[in-house]
Amino acid sequence: MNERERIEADAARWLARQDAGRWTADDQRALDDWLEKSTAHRVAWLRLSAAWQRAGAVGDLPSPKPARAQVAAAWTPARAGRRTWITVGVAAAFVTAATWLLLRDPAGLETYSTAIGARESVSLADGSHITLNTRTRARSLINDRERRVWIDEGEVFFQVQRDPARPFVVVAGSARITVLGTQFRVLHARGRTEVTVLEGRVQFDSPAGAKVEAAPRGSARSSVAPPPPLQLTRNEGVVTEGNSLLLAAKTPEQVRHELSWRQGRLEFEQRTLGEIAAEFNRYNRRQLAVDPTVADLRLGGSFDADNVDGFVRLVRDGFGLKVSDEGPQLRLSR
Amino acid sequence: MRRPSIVHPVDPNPGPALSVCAVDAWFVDSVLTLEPALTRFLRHHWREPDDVADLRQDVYVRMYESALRNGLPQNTAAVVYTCARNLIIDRARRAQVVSIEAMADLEALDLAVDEIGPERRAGAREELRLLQAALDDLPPRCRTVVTLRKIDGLSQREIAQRLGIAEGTVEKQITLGIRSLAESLYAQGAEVTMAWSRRLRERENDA
Repeated sequence: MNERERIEADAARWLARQDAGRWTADDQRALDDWLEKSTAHRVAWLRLSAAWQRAGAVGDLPSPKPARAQVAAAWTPARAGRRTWITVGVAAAFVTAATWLLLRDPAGLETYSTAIGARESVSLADGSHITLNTRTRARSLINDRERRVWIDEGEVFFQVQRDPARPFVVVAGSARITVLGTQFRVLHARGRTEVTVLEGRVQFDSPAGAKVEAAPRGSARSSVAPPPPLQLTRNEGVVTEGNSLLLAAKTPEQVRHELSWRQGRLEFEQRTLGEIAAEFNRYNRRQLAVDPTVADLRLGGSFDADNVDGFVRLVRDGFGLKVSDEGPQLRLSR
Repeated sequence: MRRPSIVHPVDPNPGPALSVCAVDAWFVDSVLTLEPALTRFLRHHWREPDDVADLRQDVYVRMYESALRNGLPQNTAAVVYTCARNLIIDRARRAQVVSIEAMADLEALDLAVDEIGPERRAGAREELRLLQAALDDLPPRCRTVVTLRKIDGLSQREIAQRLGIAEGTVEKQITLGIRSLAESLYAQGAEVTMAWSRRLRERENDA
């Protein structure tokens, strides 16, 4: 066995032990130490971990697409029963969750918040990672029975450690997102909730009475009311606001743009000046005000989230807009 | 307000320093998905097949460390390709095993990224077929355990009870299964990818 094979064997042992479900905080610390020790450890572990997760991503959640369900059923006859069981389990979890939370010991409850323009990555006790974007407040509860994150305000990117025994539930306003192991983002601000899936599959439970609309691109699923739980997969997204709900298939570029904040960048393509200004305003104290006459101007580009001045100079020089400094805000007009 | 237990602060001014988390996500999404093509490339340009897995691991280490230092590259496939090529040239020089002609050949390699193109994820049906094939490759005991774990969704403890074996044995079989599944899933990804690009090329030719 050479060095590379030894490392790979160690990485597989870590994963198998993690998979065994008796994982403790000490185990996690020991794993973290091992991963820190060398990049060779880390890449070997990531490689095996991704394959092991990918192997499971196929059949865990009930699928809304009949074609896929048929294949699964043909392959293993036991699946139909299991699927019902999962659905019932998830529903029951929702009903009992509220009561449960009141009675439960608050141990394991953590609170996070970020200032305007800040970003922060946090490792949760179950090995999942969350990245909080600007001006975000969230809470997490991780214990033996459940994993739950509430987004009170703001935007969070999730990298969820797979653990079918403990569904990972994100609560944002009246929307609930249930996952087994995946990567996705949730934005919850001013009564609006957006979810975009980067990897894996999540279940989205919309507020009661929400009407589902198909996205204009025709790539979304057809409308149903009242909405059953929705399954979102890679490059799919959903937006809810009040009683309406919009489902959309996204291009990988769109998803990349939506997640560029993780690198401190704002990326736009064919977005209106009004929308872009609103994005910048999430990250900066210096607010942009856009005159209605220029709000519909469409542009694209990639900017540092905190470089408002650079952006303003660019539109001033590139589009001949007028910039007036009104103290707390900068006004853009013709 | 209570502070979270483990925090990696992220610099609000984006600079070269990236959080490990962001690099991990990029590595899984953008580098590992290139594995089938990278393996093909290494096999094609390195005459000792037994070294390929080691070379691949070295490429991964270099890619990861460079991303951590310099930020995520714009075109990951191109950087992986260059990295693999430089590694081969380094190794060949050090080992002094390659003739001057072969070296010149390698250095003159066109930098077209076609050879390592972005992999496309297979559809769900295809994934299922891949997983089934990967499971078929496992030794019988290991296959039973991994199937119960991955397809039937039993926990390791439940598997131990069902099969009447020790939990430690289940964990060992899972350890074995993880490595073997990774090997065949990544290797078979290559077929899917090639089928994909073939189909794309056909479609382009039709148009």
